[in-house]
Amino acid sequence: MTVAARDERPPTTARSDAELVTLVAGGDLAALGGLYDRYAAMLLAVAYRLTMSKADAEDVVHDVFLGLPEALRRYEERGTLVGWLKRVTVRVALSRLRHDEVRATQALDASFAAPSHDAAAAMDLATAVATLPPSLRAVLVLKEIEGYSHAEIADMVGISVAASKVRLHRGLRALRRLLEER
Amino acid sequence: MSWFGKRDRALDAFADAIQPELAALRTPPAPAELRQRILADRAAGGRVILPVGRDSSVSVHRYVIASVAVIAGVLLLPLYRSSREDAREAQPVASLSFFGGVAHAEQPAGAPRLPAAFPIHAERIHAGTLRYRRVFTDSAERAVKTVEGSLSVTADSAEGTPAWRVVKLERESGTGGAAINAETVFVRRSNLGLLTRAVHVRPYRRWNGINIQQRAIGDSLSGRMTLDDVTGMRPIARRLRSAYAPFLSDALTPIYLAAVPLSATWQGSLTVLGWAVIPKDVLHPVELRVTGEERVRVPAGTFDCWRMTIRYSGGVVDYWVRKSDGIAVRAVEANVPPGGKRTVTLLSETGM
Repeated sequence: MTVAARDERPPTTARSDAELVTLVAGGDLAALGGLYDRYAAMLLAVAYRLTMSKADAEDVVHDVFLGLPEALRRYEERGTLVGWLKRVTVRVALSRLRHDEVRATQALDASFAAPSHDAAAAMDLATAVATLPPSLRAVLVLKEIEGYSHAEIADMVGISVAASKVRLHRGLRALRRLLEER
Repeated sequence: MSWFGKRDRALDAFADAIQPELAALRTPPAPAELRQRILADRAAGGRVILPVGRDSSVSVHRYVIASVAVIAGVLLLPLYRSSREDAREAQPVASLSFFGGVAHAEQPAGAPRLPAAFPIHAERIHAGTLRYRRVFTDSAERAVKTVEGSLSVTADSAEGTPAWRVVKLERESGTGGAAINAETVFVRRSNLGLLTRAVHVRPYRRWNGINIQQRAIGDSLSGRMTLDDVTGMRPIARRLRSAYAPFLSDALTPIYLAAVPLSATWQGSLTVLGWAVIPKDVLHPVELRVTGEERVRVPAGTFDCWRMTIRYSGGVVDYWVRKSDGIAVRAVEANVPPGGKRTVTLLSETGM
């Protein structure tokens, strides 16, 4: 009976975010895997754009999911789950950059820099983005790629709205200068 | 871009132009191995405390860390540049058809000395078609290369703006039409300002062909370069300094002076835009001076012309435009390497 009941459980793909959150917070590994299937690609993209390193991005996502059960016990559902997950991922990624800032300025995984296979030319934009200081790149990525508002960025990064605007301005200027200097 | 109440429209334009390319940067897929590792580590008791709340303790060190990162970036930039230079093979540079030949690709040293040759009579531009021939001769006056070209001007619009669509199509004779230099430009009818530009040259050096796409917004020139046989692209993002205005593309040059009030003492400057893929090929300043009046006979007819001298980074061009409408009928550049000459003549016209 117990086995039959376990088999009749709906697959994690059919569960709502709220159900998965409850299960993960209770230590359910299958539900954790379900959240991974649902959101890992999106979170990995955010982490990669911030770190510009595949290995670092995977480490960030690894840490996020490893700590998710405990963190979800404090999840207050004030926004969407995906928004909360992104904010957590951004903070973990930024924390990683702070601890390895020199490597962050160099890191660029060539195989994922652009949809090209060969042209060194296609690397320029990705290389320029990777060259930006992490603090500027974070705001540039979150605003211009992820589409967040300055208020949202300020909340995620832990800075003021004005600081977010200033960093975006500086990031765009630096990016334009880097492309002009090619 | 609003920053402390000030709008930077050029940076806005740059951000808009670069956004699609930023969004197109590829990201790695979420691997199944990572999923397994997470679940295995979790099952084995692995735990991580996530920064769910605001981590205020970090703010004390944030600026110091950011400064270190910036300094590190600056220190590492030369290494990054040198390695990138080694990897780059394509160094595309535009060639000019009328206001010069092969410009010396270099950044202009100083601002133009002559008054800006603004097209204050843009209404004088009309639809029509011109056909030209460009002949390269060696030091013994033997023709070594002949290029037949047409230039068509058509009323059109671009994103709701009344525009002229100017299409230059050049084919090198003797290659079976395989060697092509095509350029399509949209310019505002009101002031001949550049809107968009597309260039295709086939073949280009060791590649099957090269494609340049440009878009002018405010003082920014953005776009991309692609090679026919290489996947990928190089973004174009340049600032057009106002001191070098007006800016025009190569295709527009034979008709541009129709919009300028020429006279026996007229002189002015303008800038021909390069492909802008590399920094040295963005601006090609040109100085123009009327030096006399001559009656010139070309295949298209005999015309009373202003004789002009055009100076550009690659040399000097003798240039004749019709006094009646400013259309170019002849251009001669001597001392074209290796000791030859380049002659452009108007073959025929319709509608002009």
